[in-house]
Amino acid sequence: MTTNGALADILDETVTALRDLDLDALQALEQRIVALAKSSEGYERDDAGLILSKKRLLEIVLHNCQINLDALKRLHARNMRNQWAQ
Amino acid sequence: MGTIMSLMDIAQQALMANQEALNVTSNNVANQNTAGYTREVVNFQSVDAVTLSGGTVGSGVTASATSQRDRVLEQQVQQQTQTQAQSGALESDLQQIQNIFGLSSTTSSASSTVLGTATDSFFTALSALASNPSDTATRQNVLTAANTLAAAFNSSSNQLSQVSTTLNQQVVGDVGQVNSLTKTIASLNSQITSLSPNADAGSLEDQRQQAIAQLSKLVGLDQISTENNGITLTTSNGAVLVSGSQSFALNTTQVGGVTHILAGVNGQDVTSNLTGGDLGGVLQARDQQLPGYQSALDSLAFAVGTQVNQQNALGVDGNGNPGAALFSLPPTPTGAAGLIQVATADPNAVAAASPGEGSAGNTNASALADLSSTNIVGGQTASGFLASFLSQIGSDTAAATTNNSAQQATLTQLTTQRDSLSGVSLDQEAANLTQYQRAYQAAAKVFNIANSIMASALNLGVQTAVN
Repeated sequence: MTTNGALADILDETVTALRDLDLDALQALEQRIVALAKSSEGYERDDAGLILSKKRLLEIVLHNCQINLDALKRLHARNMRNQWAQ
Repeated sequence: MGTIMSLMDIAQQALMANQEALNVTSNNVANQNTAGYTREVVNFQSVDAVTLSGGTVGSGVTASATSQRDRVLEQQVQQQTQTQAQSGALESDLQQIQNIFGLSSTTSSASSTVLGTATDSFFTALSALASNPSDTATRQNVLTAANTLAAAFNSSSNQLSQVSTTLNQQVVGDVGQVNSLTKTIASLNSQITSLSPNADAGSLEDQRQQAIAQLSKLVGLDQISTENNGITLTTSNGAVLVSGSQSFALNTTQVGGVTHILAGVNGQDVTSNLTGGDLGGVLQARDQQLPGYQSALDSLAFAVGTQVNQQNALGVDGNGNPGAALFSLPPTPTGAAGLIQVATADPNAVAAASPGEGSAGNTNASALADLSSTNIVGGQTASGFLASFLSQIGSDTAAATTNNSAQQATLTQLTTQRDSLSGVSLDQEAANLTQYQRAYQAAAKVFNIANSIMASALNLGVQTAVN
């Protein structure tokens, strides 16, 4: 598989795994992309629009996820404080 | 263009799904202390795959939150709540009765109770009179002891009546609460049926379960799931309380000074058939335990009073006249403990002498004193009967306490099981949070490396930083 194809697959799978908050899958994807970066024969500009769209998709999901996680951490911290205060 | 639009659709769905997962955790954490809240989990469901340029590049997804509810376990908890509430109410009521007689878990001797002491003192005073029948002070002591005994009977009987009155008021209060809850449940039934006829209704179902749990503390229930996610509730003897969006109020009425419960359109008297919950315990104490105790107390008072009166009538009093009744009593044992009174204030009314002895004789005083060792009630002496009676109350209370402890333990086990499934644990949610954080970090790393791979070739210049 070309680097482009492998990268497209990884991006797709990362979006899916992040959607499900599937830690195991994401850790496996992390290893795959690290290996891909080391063995990459070079990225070609072909299909650039498609892969850029996938990357943008991942970026949006990541951004949204970060906002939610921050809110969740604040909420959890508040509840823990309340619990200790009781 | 179509490709980009398709990707945006997937992006939108993924965003919503991802947000749903986090929202569920957020909601669980926020409701950790909300009574009756059932933990939710997120379910992901793939929708049709999207084909881009002849190949499948991803698929859409929808996410939905469902409450972690086990209806069988919920019903078990509710049934156990009903059993425990009944045993708890019975224990509480029996302890009140036990307290009336001065009994406690450490008091086992009937003679140390107020009634036991008064009985013993009365017969002791009669024995003293047999030794000194002409002494006015000793005669006065007999009357004083008789008054103390009558007062002890009166007090015990009145307190039993007060317990009965309190239990009647409790029945009215419970019925009011039952009616309020059934109205709420019927309203929730209506909302659930219209909003979520085919699936778990989340917080609405939580509220309905919470209301049913409260109702279970009050009365025994049978629960039937009906179409469109509705619930029909009946009392344990089949009187309908809630059917769909309609609730059927219980009513109370007084029958011979006792509060009875009416149910259904025809106002059927269901008092004798209601079990479970606080009402079940209250009715058990009021209608099954209390009458027996009251009857035993009446029998004892009537027997002592009657036997003393009969023996006194066989003697000659201090004025040389035939003995009259020392105690005034009703014609039958019913109500005797509450009504017994000393009939005279004259110390000479005690007939210590037998006919022919003269007023200074003591034979009849001895016979009166001997009543303490004569079987006069239920084949037992007065003290023996009192001891058996108090022992019965003590053992009934102890049994109720033991039973309630067992029922409480079972309820705790069931509640723990249910809460492990449905309850929110901050630890669990913290673990989820950590896992989400690590998932986010892994995804961010994938993004950064992908960015690096693409950046040089595409000559994008500055990489987008996502941490």
